[in-house]
Amino acid sequence: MTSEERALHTLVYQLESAWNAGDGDAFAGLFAEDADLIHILGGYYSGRSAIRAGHRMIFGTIYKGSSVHYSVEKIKFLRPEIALVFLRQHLEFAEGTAVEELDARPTILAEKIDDKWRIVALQNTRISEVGATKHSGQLMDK
Amino acid sequence: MANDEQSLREIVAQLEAAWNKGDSVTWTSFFAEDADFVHILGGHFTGQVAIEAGHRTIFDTIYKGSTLKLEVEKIRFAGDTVAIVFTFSTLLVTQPGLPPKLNARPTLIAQRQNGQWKIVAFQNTLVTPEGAPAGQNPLVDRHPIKGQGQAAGH
Repeated sequence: MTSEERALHTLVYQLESAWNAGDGDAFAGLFAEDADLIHILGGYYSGRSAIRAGHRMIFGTIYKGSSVHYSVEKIKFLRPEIALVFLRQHLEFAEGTAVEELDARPTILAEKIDDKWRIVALQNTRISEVGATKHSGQLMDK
Repeated sequence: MANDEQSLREIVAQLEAAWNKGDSVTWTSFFAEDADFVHILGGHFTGQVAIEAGHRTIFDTIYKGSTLKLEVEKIRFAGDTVAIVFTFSTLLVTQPGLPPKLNARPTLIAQRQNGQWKIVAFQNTLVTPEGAPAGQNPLVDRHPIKGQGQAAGH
């Protein structure tokens, strides 16, 4: 793994940690000021402050106490300072007394700005196959 | 930049036209050889061959006779050889048993390669209609390519 790939893995790990701490400020802090985000329901956040507000809201409500895990599936450098990072997301959250699971594929376009990798765009898509969660472990192992 | 923006809008228009003709070969010609495609159910295809085959399948089945409208919402450049094109799609479906209208946000990441813009990554996300009955999704039930789909050899 090159040092730039390692830096991108760290960025993903920081995103995961911020989610698991329910920290909307830290989560949004990994994005560029003018970043765009398309969330799992197809809605659009434009700019870091909208991303911060949106995540504060979900961390305080439906995803309160949730736990996320991101695995890096692929990194593709388009230029030395611009990279596509394909992720696989596994989310567990409480709904009443039940634990719900959700699998998705967030993709990040990251750019190295002032020597620091930032997310300039993120788009998430839910993996919709019925029963997909049961097989997610096996697929991630492949 | 103005010319680049025009070229990218032209690609979006041509994608729309290819879809409406059910022409998977033309659809795929705007993609780079090793492009990645995350489709609306979260499956990930890699490469022109897999992208063409996947679209041929849906053009022949659930989206046969469908009409696609793609509107560019925003274009942003990262450096001068990478662009992100955010679009909003409206798909009118004629096959029975499916919702007649689907809205989504397909995003294209394009790269200028040898003077020509090519799609290097494409990701689609369904815009969830408000008030859709929970746990009921005819698109998921009837779609020939499920969310776990992987490109052959990937």
